[in-house]
Amino acid sequence: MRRSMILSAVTAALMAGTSVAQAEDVILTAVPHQTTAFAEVYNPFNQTSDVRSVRDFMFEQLVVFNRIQGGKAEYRLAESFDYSEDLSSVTFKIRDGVKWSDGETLDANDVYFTFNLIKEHPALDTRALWEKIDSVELVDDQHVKVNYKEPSTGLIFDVARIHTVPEHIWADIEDPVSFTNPDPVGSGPLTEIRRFTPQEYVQCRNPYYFQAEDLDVDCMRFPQIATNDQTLTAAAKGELDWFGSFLPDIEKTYVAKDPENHKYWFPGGSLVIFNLNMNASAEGNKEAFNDVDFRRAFSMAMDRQAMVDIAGYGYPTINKYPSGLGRGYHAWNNPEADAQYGKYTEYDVEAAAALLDGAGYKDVDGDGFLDTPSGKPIQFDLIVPNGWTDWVNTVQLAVEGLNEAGINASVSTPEAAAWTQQLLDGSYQGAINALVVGVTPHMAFDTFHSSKAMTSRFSVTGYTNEELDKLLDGFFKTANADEQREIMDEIQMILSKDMPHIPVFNNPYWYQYNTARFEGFFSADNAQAVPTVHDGNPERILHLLSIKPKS
Amino acid sequence: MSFIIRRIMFYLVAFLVAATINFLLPRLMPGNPIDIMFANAGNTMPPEAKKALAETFGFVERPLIEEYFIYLKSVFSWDFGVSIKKYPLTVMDVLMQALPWTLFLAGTSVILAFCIGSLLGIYAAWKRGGGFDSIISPSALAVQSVPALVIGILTLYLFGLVLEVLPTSYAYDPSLDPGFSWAYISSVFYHSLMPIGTLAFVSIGGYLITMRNNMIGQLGEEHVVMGHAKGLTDKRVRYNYAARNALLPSMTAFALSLGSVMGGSLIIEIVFNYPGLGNILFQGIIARDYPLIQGQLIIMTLAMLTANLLIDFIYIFLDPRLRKA
Amino acid sequence: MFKFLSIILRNKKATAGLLIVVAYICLALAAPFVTSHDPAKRVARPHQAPSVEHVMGSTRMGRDVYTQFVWGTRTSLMVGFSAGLIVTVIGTLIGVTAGYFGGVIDESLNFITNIALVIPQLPLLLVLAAFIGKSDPFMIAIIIGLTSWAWGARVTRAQTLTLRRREFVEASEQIGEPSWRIICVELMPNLLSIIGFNFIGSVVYTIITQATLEFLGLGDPLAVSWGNMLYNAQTSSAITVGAWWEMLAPCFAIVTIGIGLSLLNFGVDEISNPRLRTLGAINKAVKAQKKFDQTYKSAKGAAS
Repeated sequence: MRRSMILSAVTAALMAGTSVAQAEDVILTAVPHQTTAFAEVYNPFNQTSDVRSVRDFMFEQLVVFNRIQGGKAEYRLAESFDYSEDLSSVTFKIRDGVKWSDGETLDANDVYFTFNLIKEHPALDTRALWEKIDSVELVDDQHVKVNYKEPSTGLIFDVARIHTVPEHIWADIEDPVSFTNPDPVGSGPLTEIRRFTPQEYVQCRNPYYFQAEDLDVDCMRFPQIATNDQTLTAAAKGELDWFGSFLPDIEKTYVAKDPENHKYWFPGGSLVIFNLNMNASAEGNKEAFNDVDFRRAFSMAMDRQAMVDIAGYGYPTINKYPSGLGRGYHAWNNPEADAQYGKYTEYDVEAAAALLDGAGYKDVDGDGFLDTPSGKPIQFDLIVPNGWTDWVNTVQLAVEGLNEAGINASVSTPEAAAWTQQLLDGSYQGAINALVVGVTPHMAFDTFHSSKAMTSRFSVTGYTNEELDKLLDGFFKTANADEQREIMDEIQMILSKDMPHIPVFNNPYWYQYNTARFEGFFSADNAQAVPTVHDGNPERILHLLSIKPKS
Repeated sequence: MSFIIRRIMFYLVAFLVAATINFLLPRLMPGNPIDIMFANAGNTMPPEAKKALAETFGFVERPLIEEYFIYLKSVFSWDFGVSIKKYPLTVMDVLMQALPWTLFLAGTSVILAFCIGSLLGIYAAWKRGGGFDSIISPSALAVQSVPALVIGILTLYLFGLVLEVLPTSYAYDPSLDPGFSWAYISSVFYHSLMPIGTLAFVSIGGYLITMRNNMIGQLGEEHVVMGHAKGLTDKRVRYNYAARNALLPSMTAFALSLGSVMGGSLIIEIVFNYPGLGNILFQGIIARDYPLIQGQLIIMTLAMLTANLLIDFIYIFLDPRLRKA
Repeated sequence: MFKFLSIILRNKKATAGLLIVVAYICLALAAPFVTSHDPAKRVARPHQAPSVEHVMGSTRMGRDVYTQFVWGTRTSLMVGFSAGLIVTVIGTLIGVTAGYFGGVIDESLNFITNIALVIPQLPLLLVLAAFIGKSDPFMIAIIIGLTSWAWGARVTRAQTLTLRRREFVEASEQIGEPSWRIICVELMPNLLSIIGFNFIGSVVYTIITQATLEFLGLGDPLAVSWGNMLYNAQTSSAITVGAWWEMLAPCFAIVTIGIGLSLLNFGVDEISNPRLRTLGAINKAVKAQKKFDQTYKSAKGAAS
């Protein structure tokens, strides 16, 4: 008798070890980030944590601007916003009746508190908001007014992304920078951590969620996965529902395992370009890089299709816009730029050689490579971070084309840090680089604004153009769509003509999904928003709310 | 006794030297972790924010000497600071989570390999020239020179991806809670089969060869011949006379191989996504998590020193002459 | 030289090892003649299975695996031999100096050696390779060479210590021969097998370590080497997509050169230590004893 009691107790203990969550819960398995082990940090301002489901899923933003829908405002904690007449301040109206996950009311006070919190602790101000905003006013319990230093219709894309935290908890936190927020109280759909181990955690429903009627996922399960290969293994077995990872030969390795359900969509994202340093230390390089004919010839030596197909496995989106606009912003495209300068983005090594020849480039010193019209040697490395395999392969393809056109270029693979460093201090000659794209094409183009020069790794060509500066400044000084369009047309003409950087393709947004258990995923046919599950994609909240369990 | 004291003194100095190298390494190299962390982020972090963050992680500009003493103090007070990658966990937390797995992996495989290899070696030496010896010794030799990396990759693909019979990552099924349950323990066992198997496999050969050669050497010694002459049983002669003495050099090989075992386990952990020190070190290197890398090297050095010290004790046990020295 | 070769050829293991190693050396030397193009050139469609045109298939980037394998042999052997040389030179210098001169010199050198032995090597190498950044094969050879000499130094020292007490060395000393002469003329020839052992072992170790570093992505991705072949196969999930040839070629290369060098080493060891082969008379005596015991036992059993 006693023996059987012990036995049953042991069995019960064993059973307890295996239960994950209540059986009736709908659990979505997602991989927003690859890591070797999770550590508990639920601080939405933390940039280094491996727990990447805190922003958006635990702490909502004010407004999400839908990049795929031309920047359409999708209201989250705010229910609307209004500009002042002169576009120098914006007032958010906070949604009525929103509650924190502990049942307390969320209102404008919390938003106001959060803005001041990141002002007081610059380490929390990860989007550098307080460089551009002047002050924040609490209008009433429902309204917060943000005053800009300068009029802008573009700053809101950053301002509205602030992740509001509850004042009644954070006000008492001594050091919010190192605060790990062990018992998170949030505003998002999933605020309760049901289970946490370094190898897996499960994040479940907020009992007071303001949009609960649209939330059909009870919990998200986040397994620890360290590499692409492991993602592939888990994905092929159908264990993952929503993820985004580089999977080689995806049709064979993932889709073919279950063609009915295993799907992917790779819309074009950040803009991959070649930078040529117009202030290069080597005289010959400098002379060449400052010559638009050389840059055009460089561009024509790029086999963009091969880069996409071979280096990128066909996943990136080819970019033949001479301005680098990218297919994602095709709605903004100025066809005249294509008509006049489109030929310079077509792969044609002979034409490139001819262009160089016509511009006076000759092999003076007899080393088999071209020298500048003034007779100085051209010789440069294109730097690419070690380990970024697809980019390394891309640069190798670029060098093949350049060598064929008679240009003495080679590949160099410093560590990512050294690569960044060389870009930032201007010691590089040539480099592959990527520009983050925003809600409008303005974000990528604005890297050419003279005020941005050498302030980040995105603005390192040394190219400036006063006329371009004015246009870029003017773009967000107006809220009129036609005016904006006109400005963007002109910007494209300038960039296409001068070709200060050489665009090659747009990196894909990595996104794969599995429809065996869920439906409502975004796809090319259902292109509602940028579909990735990664932290840093504000639209992922929209996606989560659209995912439903299969009936 | 003085032998022990001398050894301990040596280990102390060795530790200090290792700690100093450890201190100098990251400071001589280019690249700064804070820069790297945000190198790939899309947002432009203002310099003040970066500086504030750097200070949180203890990166304050100070003269090198001052920093060295602060560092030494932290090492001896067992506090390696906060990990950047695994913030807010301290380096100690991260390492202590990983250490048991590495000890388990390396320990089990080394003991397995040592026992199996030595026994096979004794046998091969006893029957030298026979069928067993002429097959097993050359193959041991061949296996000994195959790197853990290659065996790891091949078994991973064969058993993990092609046959799909063994798990390709984790130390246990992630949906289980660690505890004293059958499900958990069996899962740990199941997940350790490939990594331990691989590690043990690649080191068996070395022990076999060392043992065989030592044994053969011993078999020619007078006392062994004496043993036979005295009419002792084969078994007695084999284990009490020959093997015991042959074990001594084998132990040296064992001690010397600890480093390579640690190296092997490092690679195997990375290949099999096993949550041990090697995996953590690799991630730390990629993220340039200096506090983590430093703590890691210290822990690994300590592990080496401790193992060597243990070997010293075993030596004394096996070789009574040392007790007097 | 001839004598040395004929000794080796008398040993089956050493012969097999030597054959493998010589084959690889020939392949490395003949690389420009047995391949038709630059190993980094794209010559095929991605992941073509082995065929007449591409006997080992092609990689994901459309490179010929065979060409990469041949040129990779060159890199691996070069790195292996140069690091082996560094290790052997440092190890021998330190070992002989410590063992021969003894006293304070020995104490301090031995101390340094022991410290180098207890510092975990591979982790240190990983960190070094990553920190240095662009670790091309040459750089890898240097850092491996500079960090891996301790074992050789220790063994050489031990051997020198024994030799030092031999009569012929002591005799040379007594007739007042200079130290350098004793070291070069009396000690060195007797240390040759240990030095050779050390060298070959270091070459194997270096080739494996280089491949490991590169596989982890800590090497120079532009170098053509076995480690990078592994790395590229890994990043393109070659096995998962069915392109086993891309993974197998470098694995095969690393394994066979390792086996070849080890066999050679083992053979050299057997030659310099003949007892390892057979124990001749003693062995026979033991067998006779056994036989005698058995007959005696059975006789006794039959009697009772």
